[in-house]
This record gives sequence, structure tokens and C-alpha cells, in this order.
Amino acid sequence: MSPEVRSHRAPRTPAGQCLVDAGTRLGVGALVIAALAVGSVVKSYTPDTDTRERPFTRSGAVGDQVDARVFDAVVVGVRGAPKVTRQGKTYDTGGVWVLVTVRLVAHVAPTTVNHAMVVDTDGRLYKATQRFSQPLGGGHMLQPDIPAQGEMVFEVPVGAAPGLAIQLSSGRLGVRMDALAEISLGIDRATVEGWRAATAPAVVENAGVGS
Amino acid sequence: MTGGWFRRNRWGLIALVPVLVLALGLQLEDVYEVYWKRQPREAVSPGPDGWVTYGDARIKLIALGPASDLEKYSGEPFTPPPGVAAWKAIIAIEATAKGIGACRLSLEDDAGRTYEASPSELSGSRTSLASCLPDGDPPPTSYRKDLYFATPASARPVAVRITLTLQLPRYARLTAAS
Repeated sequence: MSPEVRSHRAPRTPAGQCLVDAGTRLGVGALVIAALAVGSVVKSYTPDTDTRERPFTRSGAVGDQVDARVFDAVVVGVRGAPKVTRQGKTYDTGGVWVLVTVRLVAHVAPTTVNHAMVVDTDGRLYKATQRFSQPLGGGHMLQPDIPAQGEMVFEVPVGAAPGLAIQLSSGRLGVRMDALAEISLGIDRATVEGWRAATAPAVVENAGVGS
Repeated sequence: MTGGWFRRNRWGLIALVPVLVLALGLQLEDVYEVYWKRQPREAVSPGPDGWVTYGDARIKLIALGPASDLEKYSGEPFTPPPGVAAWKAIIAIEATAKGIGACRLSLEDDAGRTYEASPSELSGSRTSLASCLPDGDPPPTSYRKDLYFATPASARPVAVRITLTLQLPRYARLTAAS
């Protein structure tokens, strides 16, 4: 004969066991919070996406040959003017025109320069002007070991011109994690004032095969 | 954490191994698709008769040599810029009714460098834009194409490459029949 059932409740847990269970739960909670805190600290001290995927910058000055991974770039000369003439038409500006003569040579395969900008000392970027066709624009294809030489034309505020550097890269979808040639143009304030004082427009030269 | 924790979670831990392998495997597939398959890496060479079967077509290199017939639009002879050599390739294409489609044409030299067809160094000469597509209406299925390239004067061309995007990473590497 089975013993009489007095209650359907589970037997009461001893008070000591309750304390152990609560301590375990508290410990797990504390571990989770600690893990989240450590994760947050790690995240705040690790680089963000823009920094992590920044380009590999190769620097140089006018006359230096700078390797941009799939092509070499040399800044051959820099000039400026308050007006430029391209294909018979003259273009004015409220800033100043900066004309950079570059020589570009592809290494082993045809390539195009898809990133051509100048950067000022505050990090502001200016694209090559689209007000007229650029001599080396329109997806100009560089063939291996055939130097292409021509001017790239930028329109920048007068105050941005001193200290400008040109950036060149083949990166099709931006310059993230790609090589970037950054060449200082050696422009100072006096040079810019001299350019602004010029009366004749600078005639933009066509691109050709360099030496 | 005790031996009891491992015992309780042993099936989850065992399942973690194939899940990690699968996750890494999917990444490798992505690497293959993005970084390997989209580049021309596997050359399809011609048979003994010189013909290459590639895509929906058979292609053959008929001739490859210096371009001596270049002329300006005025009819005067065209001279390439100093230090540049111009080359002409003639290829024969036998396509199915479906056609071969748009392709990329390049020249390969003995140093492994490649050069794009219809280069800007030859602009000013009377040459048509390089293409694999036939001229004429209705388009013929058997035709020839003249291709022009520019290289440094010292380069020695060895092959013409034809690349169809849908055939990547395979490309046709046309060389003269031996």
C-alpha cells in the first residue's frame, strides 16, 4: 500500500541552497556585464572602419617617382592662374586654378587613374574640375611602360592652395585599402598671390606620351 | 565552470565545430568568387590547328606583327609617338547564331605585360574601335577583326588575349599555330 500523499508541492529547498543558487545567478550576471564592459572598452580603443580601411599612402614631393601599386606617378610641374583656357574656351574662378603636370606609367597591365584629387592642409579634398574635359580624364588608359604626361586641373579656394598635395590612385570604388600616391605640390602663399596677379589665362595642354 | 558545465553543453560544443568550419568555408567561397573568379587567370590555348574554343565561338589568330598600314584620316601615313611601337593582330571568329558578345581584347608580351586594344597612343589614326562583335546586318557568324595595340618600342608581343566576363576566370590566349 502506497503512503498517503500529504502535499503536491515540491519539498522546500534549504535556505543555504537558495543562497548558493542566487549567488551563481548573480555571478553569471556579473560576468555578462563585465564582458559587455570589456567589449565596449575594446571597441572604443580600436580604429573605426574609415581608419582600419584607410589607404596605404606613399608620399613624395615634386620630381619624386611615387609607386601607387599598379602605376608610378611623378609630378613634373605645377602652375596656377585666375583663368584657364581649354579647347578655345576660357573659364574664370572665384578661387584659383591649379594645373599639375603629371607623368604616369602603368606597371604590367593597363590601368586608369580613378582617384585624382588635391588635399589641403585641413584635409579637405577637391576633385579635378569637371567644368571641362581633363587631358588625362575620361578613363585615360595607361599602357605598361608607356609614360603618359598631361595636366590635371583643379579649382580651389585661394586660402586652400598653399600646402596642397595631389592624391592619385587606381581604386575604382574609392581608395579604401588601396595604394594612394600623395605628392606635395610645394605651393606657398606668395606663389598663389603671383598666380592671382596673372592677367593671361593658362592654356591647358593636351596629354601625350612622356619621356 | 566545472566538468558538469561541459557535460551539460557537450552537444552544443560538438555542433560548434561544423558551424565554424561552414562559416569559414562560406568566406572562402566568397574569396573565390570575388578575388579569383573575376580575374582572367586560366588561359585556354589553341589546339594544333590554331583554333581556340571559347564561350560560344571558335577563335584563331591569323596574323600578329608590326602595324605598317596605319594612316591618318587625311590619308597620310600615321607615325606612332616616339618610343612607341604599333602592332596589328588579325583574328578570325566563328560564332554560333547566339554570337560571342562583348569582350576585352589585349596583347601579351614576352615579359607578361598586357596592353589594351585601341589605345589613346594611336588616336589620330584611322582605326575602328576594337571589338569582338561582327559588322554588317544581318551579322555574319564567320568574320575577321583587325586589332591595333601600342607597346614600348622594346616589347615583343607573343599572344592576343580575349576575355568574356561570363567565362572568367578562363580567357582565350591566342598564339600563332605552330
